Amino acid sequence: MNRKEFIYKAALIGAGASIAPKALFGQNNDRLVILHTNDWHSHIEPFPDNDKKYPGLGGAAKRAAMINEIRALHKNVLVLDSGDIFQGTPYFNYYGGELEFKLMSEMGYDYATLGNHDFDAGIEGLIKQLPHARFKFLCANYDFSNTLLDGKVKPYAICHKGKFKIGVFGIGIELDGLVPKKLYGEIKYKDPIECANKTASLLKDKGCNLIICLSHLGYEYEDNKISDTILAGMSKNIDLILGGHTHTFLSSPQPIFNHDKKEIFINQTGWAGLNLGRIDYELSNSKSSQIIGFSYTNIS
Amino acid sequence: MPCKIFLILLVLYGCKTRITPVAQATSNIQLSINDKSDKQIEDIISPYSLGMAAAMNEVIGYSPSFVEKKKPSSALGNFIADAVMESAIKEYPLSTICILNYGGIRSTLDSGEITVGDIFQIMPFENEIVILKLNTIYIDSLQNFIRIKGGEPMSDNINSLKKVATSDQDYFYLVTSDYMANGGDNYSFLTRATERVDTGVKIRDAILAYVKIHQPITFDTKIREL
Repeated sequence: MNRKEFIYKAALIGAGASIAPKALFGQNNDRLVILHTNDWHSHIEPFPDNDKKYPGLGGAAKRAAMINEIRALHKNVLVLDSGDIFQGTPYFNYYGGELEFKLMSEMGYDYATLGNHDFDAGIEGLIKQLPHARFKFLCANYDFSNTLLDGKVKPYAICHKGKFKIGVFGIGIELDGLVPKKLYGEIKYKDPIECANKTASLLKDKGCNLIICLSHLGYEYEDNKISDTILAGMSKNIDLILGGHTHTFLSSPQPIFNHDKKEIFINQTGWAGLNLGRIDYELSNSKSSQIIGFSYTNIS
Repeated sequence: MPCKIFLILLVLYGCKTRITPVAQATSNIQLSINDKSDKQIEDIISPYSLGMAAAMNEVIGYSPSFVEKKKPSSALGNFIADAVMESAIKEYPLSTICILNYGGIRSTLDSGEITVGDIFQIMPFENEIVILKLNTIYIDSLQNFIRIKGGEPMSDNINSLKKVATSDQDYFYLVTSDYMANGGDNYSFLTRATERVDTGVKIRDAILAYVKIHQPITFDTKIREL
């Protein structure tokens, strides 16, 4: 069953239940709202109103307002980014990423992973901006020893939101061939699947009830290059992969079966801060049935 | 700002006894023109924006039409490759062809006034022009590689290179970016160049100069063949 059919069938089942779910949207300690971006590439301002492709779309101030609106409705909100924060507008050329980090801090981002373009000003350029970031960078498959980033980027983090104990970790793309060696220096790339499964297993052992992978591998490729869909299929213990790099516009999180034939989700929100990804979780201890709700939010 | 929320329920049967997360998958939210902006964030942006406004808003030319990058070739890709080639050939008349990478073009160019900021959007990278002296034996691999990629911005048809290959010349001079010359975008074979000249000229500066010189712009929309 492909994705479209899936949504269609879900819609049919749900047709008679349009009132009941409202209760789900109150201030709810059992609900976690995950908001996320990827590849926003220094697009601090909205695209110009006369832009042919994205007229008036995006912009950090609108994203911030949207995040605040959601925070007003929900107690447990986690804000994440999957990398390539840097590079794309003169703001980066002029200020080296300082403003990007300041704005993300102001918006209350919790964690981000590193994309290849986050090394565009070299390791030193990134370190110079780190004091402006009140959120943490995570990456579990780069070995930073012998670099100035050693100890500054952790493989994973654990945070508590309501009844959720959330494990978050990052997975980076192979930098060789993509980023000049002089910019990424002595960072060693390690196998993403092995690192992801090892880290997820560790987070499970530590009692996390939701495990999120921030990935900059890319959603999918025509060849067998490692991607989020491949990682998802070979993964264990990961519940959600929030991806980046390929600038893939997904209309909603995509369900996919992991190594244990359990359904997990991948999401990616395009690029340039045009969209804000959202996925909500609730905890269930029900013996007989679980309810999965798909909601559709379109702001126009 | 109408906000439509449709909730759809799907009941699944499982038999989990411990607490598990259940995804309430929501569709991604588009940040559109009518959405409200956060004042506090705008205030943080404002001084940064003003700090570069004068330089970025300088009008340097006029574009007759909207152009965007496409494969195998496009008016915008042709334009950028021509700009870099023109810059290189002035100092290095032996230059044979300019080939850049499609991924390096980061934005579209609209019709109307062209500002410095527009060129920064198209070419945000600080990449510099490099000229590589390559043995003609690499022409086939270059052509094959570009075919696999589905096209790259080029200053000429690659057939002109094939002519070099069939002539008695042993070398050709490829104008490209330091990024590609270093093996970026998987151009690892370019690191085997016989000689390399780092011009120190930024690709963006070459485009800025080209826009100023070639007014009014006429875009070449012809496909540059692989």
